[in-house]
Amino acid sequence: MNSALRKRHRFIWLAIGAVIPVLVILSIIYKPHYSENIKILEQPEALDYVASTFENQHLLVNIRTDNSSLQLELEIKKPFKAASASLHIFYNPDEKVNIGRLGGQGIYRFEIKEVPLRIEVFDFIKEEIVTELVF
Amino acid sequence: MSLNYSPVLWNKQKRTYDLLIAGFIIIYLIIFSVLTVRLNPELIFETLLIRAFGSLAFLMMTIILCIGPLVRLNSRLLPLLYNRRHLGVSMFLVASIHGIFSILHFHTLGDTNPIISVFTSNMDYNSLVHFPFQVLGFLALLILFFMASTSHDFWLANLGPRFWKALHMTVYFAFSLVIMHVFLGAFQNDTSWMIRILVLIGLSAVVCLHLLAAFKEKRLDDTGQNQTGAWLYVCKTNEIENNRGKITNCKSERVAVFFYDHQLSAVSNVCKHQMGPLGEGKIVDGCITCPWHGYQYNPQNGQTPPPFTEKISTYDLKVQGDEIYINVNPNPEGTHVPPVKIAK
Repeated sequence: MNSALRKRHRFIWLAIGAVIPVLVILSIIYKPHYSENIKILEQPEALDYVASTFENQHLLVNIRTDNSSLQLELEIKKPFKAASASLHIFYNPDEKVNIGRLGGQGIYRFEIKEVPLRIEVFDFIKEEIVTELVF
Repeated sequence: MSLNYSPVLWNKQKRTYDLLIAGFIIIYLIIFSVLTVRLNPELIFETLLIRAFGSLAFLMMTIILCIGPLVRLNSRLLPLLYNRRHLGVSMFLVASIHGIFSILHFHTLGDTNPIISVFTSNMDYNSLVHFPFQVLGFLALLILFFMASTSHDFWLANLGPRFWKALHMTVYFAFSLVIMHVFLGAFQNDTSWMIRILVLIGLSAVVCLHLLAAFKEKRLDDTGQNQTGAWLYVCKTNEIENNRGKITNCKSERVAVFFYDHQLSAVSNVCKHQMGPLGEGKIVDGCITCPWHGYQYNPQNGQTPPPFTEKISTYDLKVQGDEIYINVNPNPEGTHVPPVKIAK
């Protein structure tokens, strides 16, 4: 390399060393809290009784209970267009709660405090609703 | 060096290097798949594929970007540089698999052109954390495509060294795009701090090594800046090994002084091929041989052996006692300068 190129390299790496770590730190600090509480490997056992069932073309949802607690059991019947998505539930029209992340077809169970008004599957990459179900 | 262009000038070392690259890729993919199936059994195959090739491409890119400064800091690592081109092209292929599967998986089920969908499915361009991270990965892949497709000497000769070098320096921009692609994309959903820390270690290693090498080079560039006369002291005659060079700085440009056959010659330190440091090479078959890609020059006139036509500047030398001095004013490229005989 000649001296001009060496100088250019030095300035490029000084700039990268100054800017990228700041952006990385900001991206960590302001990271949206998507479904951090989900532990799919620790998926709970199904509660004893099915209290009610709701269905659309993508989802089959059972509200399960053992008389002391409630559980939302969600079966993905047909693959989504989204590769992975979050499950949002609404206990009232203004309260959206992220309760879990959906990675593929299968059955997912989430503990809930009451029967929600509706649920939505949200594609957090495209930032759009994939499907929703009103109870 | 070769007179005719050939896609790859195979030799035993290149075959060994490529086998090592292929082995590394296969082993990484196996280990990643096994660990993912054990730790994330709910993951679907497409996601596994995208993550495996994406993380492998990032790892390869980090290694490639560390090679340059490592060699500047320690010349014993020069063999790593020898076939870096193949490592770069392999990395592009791995990154392409990640990119193509990502586009197929995320953008082909809608009614929009998949490439347009990459740019328009998320329009949050004025937000940092919601920024469409796939666009960053796509642009990085585009840069890698241009680099991989012009990595051959044919393109170096036809695009010209200045443009070619500028194009290939955009890899630093691509690396920055990839870092933000990872932090604004995968890491927005992945809660594993260990993986974040590993990526941060990779980023720190690349930045720190480049800055260490840059400031080491700057120290050498700063020597000889206050030289006022025509002759600059280089070193003692016994400080240069037989068939080796000594690099010094003349008017901000590096010069290599070579000792061979009991005589000394000085030429520009910058190889015409890819600006490799000739002074770190050695004399092979009577020619200065660039340590990067083996380009050769006659030490007395700075010309490549016929039928090649490249030329570099030569410098006048004199020896007083056992001290070597160089005339800081270069001769025109290809000028013959009789070597200075010394008894050693």
